[in-house]
Amino acid sequence: MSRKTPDWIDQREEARTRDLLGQLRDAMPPAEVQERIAWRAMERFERRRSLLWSRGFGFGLAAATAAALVGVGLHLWGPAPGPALPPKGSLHAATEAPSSFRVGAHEVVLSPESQVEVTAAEPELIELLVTSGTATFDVSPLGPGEIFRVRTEHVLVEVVGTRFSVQSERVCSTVVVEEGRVRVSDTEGAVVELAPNQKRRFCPQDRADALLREALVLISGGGSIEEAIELLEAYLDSAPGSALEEEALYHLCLAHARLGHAEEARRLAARFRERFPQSTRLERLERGLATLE
Amino acid sequence: MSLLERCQAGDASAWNQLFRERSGQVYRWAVLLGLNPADAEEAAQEVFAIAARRIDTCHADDALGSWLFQITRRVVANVRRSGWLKRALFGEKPLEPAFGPAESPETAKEIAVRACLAKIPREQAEVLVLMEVEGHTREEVADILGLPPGTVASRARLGRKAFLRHWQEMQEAAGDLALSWGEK
Repeated sequence: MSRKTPDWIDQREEARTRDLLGQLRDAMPPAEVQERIAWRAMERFERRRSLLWSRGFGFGLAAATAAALVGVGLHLWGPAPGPALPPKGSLHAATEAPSSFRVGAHEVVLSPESQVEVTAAEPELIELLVTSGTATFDVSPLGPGEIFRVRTEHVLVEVVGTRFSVQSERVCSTVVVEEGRVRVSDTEGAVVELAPNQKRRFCPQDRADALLREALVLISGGGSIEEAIELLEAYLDSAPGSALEEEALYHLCLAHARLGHAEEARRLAARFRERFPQSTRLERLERGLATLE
Repeated sequence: MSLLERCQAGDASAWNQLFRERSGQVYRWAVLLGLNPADAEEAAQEVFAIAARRIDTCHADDALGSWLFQITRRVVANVRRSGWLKRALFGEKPLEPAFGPAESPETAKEIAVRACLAKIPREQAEVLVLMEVEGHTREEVADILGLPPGTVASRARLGRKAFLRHWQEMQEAAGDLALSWGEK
């Protein structure tokens, strides 16, 4: 059970932190760095503007030529043009509230704190990359030869049907199908088809191992224990029952002990004892926990 | 016409003014949220590129700062996420001076403060940067981050404790922070 810190301690800590951090209140980079940032930002702004302008001009010219060649009548009674596609490379993000955008006839809904990049936007190929968070895709029926697919770092989801969501986390990606079917390929080349109401989590083992490695580097190098805890928890979550579970659980328990999280450390120690009763690490674990007394 | 309205209208001189006025601040945020100077410079440019694309989503001139901070925290998180493999393989790079000349006492203190900030959870660091460096009130931070004021207060309290604990350890251990589980 946590104890409430007396107000005067909080106030003293507040004043001390303000004193230390307040020294950076007016910290500014050297003038040449500020100048370089502003100049490059302006350069990018101008480049984008001229690109948009030239695209607009190009479209205008093409439209005028087409109208002249084909004739206004055909233009008026011909088939309606498809909905516009977003530019390749464009980023769509939701901050605190969900947001949505259209990719041609399809709709993408972003959950808060999510971001999607358009990596291909052509009439026959639409490819989106979920860089963070969760996006739900409402895909209109595809014509013959049309491809709609979604990537994360860990999977490639190809639409066979209509409505599904893809969540990209640190190590794993989760695909949930609401309607229709999707085909999912993981980084090891395995392909599965998911039907409505099916949900599958994809966690490449090498990514999970990298998490554990990163956590151990932090611990042994005097890095952030909080960050190491986060990595170890993500590892255990993504690779339950793996060969390195013992290693991860052991370090997670001691990391909590190190931070004084007595209850959590004891809970993890009990789990460790239960999972690995013959482990040679048990004795060292007990010694680490003894510091909590 | 306000600066925001001029930017929304696509006025290049307004954008130039915005970039110049805010470049130092955005860079400072990126550094304090854990980036090294070179990455912070790149991140600041990326923040402005996103700002130029999404300026229509900023609704008030006086919200420009908090709107840029929100973009900055996401860009910084992306940069940190994309660099995790490098950090895992080669470890965290030693901090380099970001604001002043090397070898000055102020720079040593700046690096020590940044090292402690880097060790606390990101969401607590964000709150501390907004409150203690930028001087925002708890309610303003709640508004900027879209959180209840109670959550901001709790993150600030935990962040201060963690920050001071690391500061204390840094003072005491004088560089010897290596841990040896169970043997110490």
